[in-house]
Amino acid sequence: MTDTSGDRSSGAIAIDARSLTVTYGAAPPVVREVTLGVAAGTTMVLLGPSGCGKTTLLRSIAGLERPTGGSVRLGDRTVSSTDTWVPPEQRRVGMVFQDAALFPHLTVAQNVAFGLRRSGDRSRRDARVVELLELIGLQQFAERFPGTLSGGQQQRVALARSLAPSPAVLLLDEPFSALDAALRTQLRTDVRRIVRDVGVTTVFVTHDQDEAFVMGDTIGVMHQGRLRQVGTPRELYERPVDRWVAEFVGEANVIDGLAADGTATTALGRVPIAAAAPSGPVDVLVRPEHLQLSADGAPGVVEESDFFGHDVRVVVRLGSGERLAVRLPAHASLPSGAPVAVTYVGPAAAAWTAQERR
Amino acid sequence: MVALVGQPVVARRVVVIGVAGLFLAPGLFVAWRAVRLGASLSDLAGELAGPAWRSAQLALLVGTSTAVLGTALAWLVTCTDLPGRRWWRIVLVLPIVLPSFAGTTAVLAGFTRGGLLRALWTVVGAEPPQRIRGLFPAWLLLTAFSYPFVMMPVSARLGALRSSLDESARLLGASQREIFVRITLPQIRAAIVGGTLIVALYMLSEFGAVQLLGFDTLTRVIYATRQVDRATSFMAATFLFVASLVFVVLMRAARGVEITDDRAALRPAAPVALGRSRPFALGLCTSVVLVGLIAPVSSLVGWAWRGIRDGRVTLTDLVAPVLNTAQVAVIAAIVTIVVVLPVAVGVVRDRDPLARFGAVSIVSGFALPAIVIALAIAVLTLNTPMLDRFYQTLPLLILAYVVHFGSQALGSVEQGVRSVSRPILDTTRLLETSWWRRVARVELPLMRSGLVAGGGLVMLAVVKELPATLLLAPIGFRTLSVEVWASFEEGFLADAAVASLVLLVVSASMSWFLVLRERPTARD
Repeated sequence: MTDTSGDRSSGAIAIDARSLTVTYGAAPPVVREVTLGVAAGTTMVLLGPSGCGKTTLLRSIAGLERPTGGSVRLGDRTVSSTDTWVPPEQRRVGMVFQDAALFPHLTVAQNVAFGLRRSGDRSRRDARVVELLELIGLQQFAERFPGTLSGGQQQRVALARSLAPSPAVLLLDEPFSALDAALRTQLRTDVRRIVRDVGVTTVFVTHDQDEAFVMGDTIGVMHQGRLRQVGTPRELYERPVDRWVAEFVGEANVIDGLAADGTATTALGRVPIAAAAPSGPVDVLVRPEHLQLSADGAPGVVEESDFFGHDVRVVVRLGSGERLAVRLPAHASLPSGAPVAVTYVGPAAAAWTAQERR
Repeated sequence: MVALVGQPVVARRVVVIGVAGLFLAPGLFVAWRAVRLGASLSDLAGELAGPAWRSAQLALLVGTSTAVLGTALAWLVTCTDLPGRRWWRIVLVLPIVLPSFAGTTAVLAGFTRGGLLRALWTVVGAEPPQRIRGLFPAWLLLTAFSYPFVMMPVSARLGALRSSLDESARLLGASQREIFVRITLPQIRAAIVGGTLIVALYMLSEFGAVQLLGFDTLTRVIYATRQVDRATSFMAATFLFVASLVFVVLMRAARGVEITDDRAALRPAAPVALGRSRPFALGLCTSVVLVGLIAPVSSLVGWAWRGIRDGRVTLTDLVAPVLNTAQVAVIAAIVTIVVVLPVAVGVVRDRDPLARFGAVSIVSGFALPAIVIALAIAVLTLNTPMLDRFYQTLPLLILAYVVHFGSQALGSVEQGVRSVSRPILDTTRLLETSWWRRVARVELPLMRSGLVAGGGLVMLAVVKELPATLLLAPIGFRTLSVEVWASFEEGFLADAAVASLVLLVVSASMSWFLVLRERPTARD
């Protein structure tokens, strides 16, 4: 595979967006003042609920939307600013769409070859097509038409087609959202492998938190047109900047606490909190898997219990009235109404200055 | 009819064979007569070579120009930032409501002494054209009246294309022009070819306009010789029949294997910026509407107003033609639905090859020019004892309409049949034991909108039909289109104009209900 974007560890910024804003007519901006940088050879995931502006941000990087403010640099070239505009066909950007968007009247091989220069050497072009079809494992389908392929195969061909001209940047817009769950899991592993092998700088848009964690070297969480937090999957999960992010990237219990000296006093007892956390009244993030049943914990009653095979999710109502979701090993069997006691066993928890209660 | 919907396949197949025979009979009869006339071919070939060449010329030229113009206009109103494109999208379809013979009548009347177009010409200071005859005016007017047959299907197709395909091609480095040639064109080709085929077939069968413009084609030959020289008219009919077949075969080849992606687009496409070609695009749309719509309609309005002002036109004279038109249109529509329905059921529900053959024969009825069908039916009845008493009676006229316009209803009727899904049929069968009550309570109500649409399209076609009506209508039975034709021939321009305007209003309102209004709901 030809190298497209240099050394993964070089740390050069391949995509650099500054204060990017996209507005349609008089409506409030769809993307507001977003600044983000993607290191060369890495994958950034834009994660957010539908309508948060993540697809519009992606399309602005591609040049399919024209930002109303801010700038975009790809490598050392400014492609979009108040006085510069490089049309999408000249940006060397590859994109995979939600619907694959394969040309229905062209074969798989012709689709993959579409972006390769037609004036060039034919045998080199053919070799490149073969190389990409092998990469996605679909060489035997070269002469088939897209309509005869499954959804997952179509998305792989779309990936090969966008990689064929060796783009500087690869953009993926919810490529797996139309597929069923089992296929999605398989395909995201394949795509991650291919993207890392090729070493192309990638931006991947999704609303699925699992997918974001698997695909992303870093994740940008978007909400209402703004980038709320950028970090590694672990940072996002363990140190979300606010309650909204905490609840969006995983199951979360948020309980009242009073913080002082690295611990918060809560209905669960004393919970260790992160060094950077504020003191005084706080909201403390307690992930369900960080709770355990033990005799010396805070007393409560089981309200409901759902068996998932690998574990059991139990909702416990504490004596103080707070309801907590708890993840327990699957062998635990707890009928509704059973008295239990709950203890915090996790690492230092995230905590934020307390919000007005609902 | 009802019996045929729910009854066993065998009964339906017998009916389907009968229907196929009905639609194929005129063509087969013409071919058989031609074979028997074979000996005299050499005598007639010289005489017919000119008209045959002119028929082919008209079909080729108008077919080509409507393909280009219809596609260009469809692209402008669907894919670009043309100012007022919603408005243009409606206005540019309007020329279709005026039958070509009425449009030609209007333009000719406009340029006669006292006509509005002639007056306008003089106001501008130009010399009005002395003679409007021959190929050029025929090509110009027929193109301006027929391009919507290409524009409508192509716009529908363009509107349904997935925006992500264009965007992918762009990101892969393709220019705007490359995208059109490599991505868009292959996907709209079938729509272009389909529309062009309809235009080419109309041009082969065109009678009124070419007759008025003194452009001597095969249809004129048939009309002129049908009573005095049967050999010539049958040979001309055979030429037309063969030419139609050749066009159908060529077009089918040109259509190619269409491979499309019919999933709905996820987001609307951004319109292409016309930039500096915007004035040119607006100019094109304006001139097309000027020739195809404004010139004929203003001429008609001018003559009608003069006629009514001077008291030369009595509107009550039009009551009989309107009633006659309504009568034949409604009867033809009902009979067509009854005839087409068993075939549609066989095609949709049983995927029966025999029914598919029936469908092909129904479509072939459209490929055969109306005047050829009329000639065949007239001669066939006159030469058959017992049947000859039907000559120039309504049933024969209706039969000609059904054979020629059955294909207009086929698509909608199949759509109607499709709306009764297999699960619904099965459920009904479990709940209702009597088959005819199943049909009456479930199937027909569900099919209704499809059947009504199919019938409506037949009615619209009948209202605009001229040559078959001229040949087969009972003596003194004038429909609106015959009224327009006869009044103009007799020099009563004001009467022709008023009748044309009534025809225009009837056909416009029917088109609105059937085609334009239905479109958005059909796509959603």
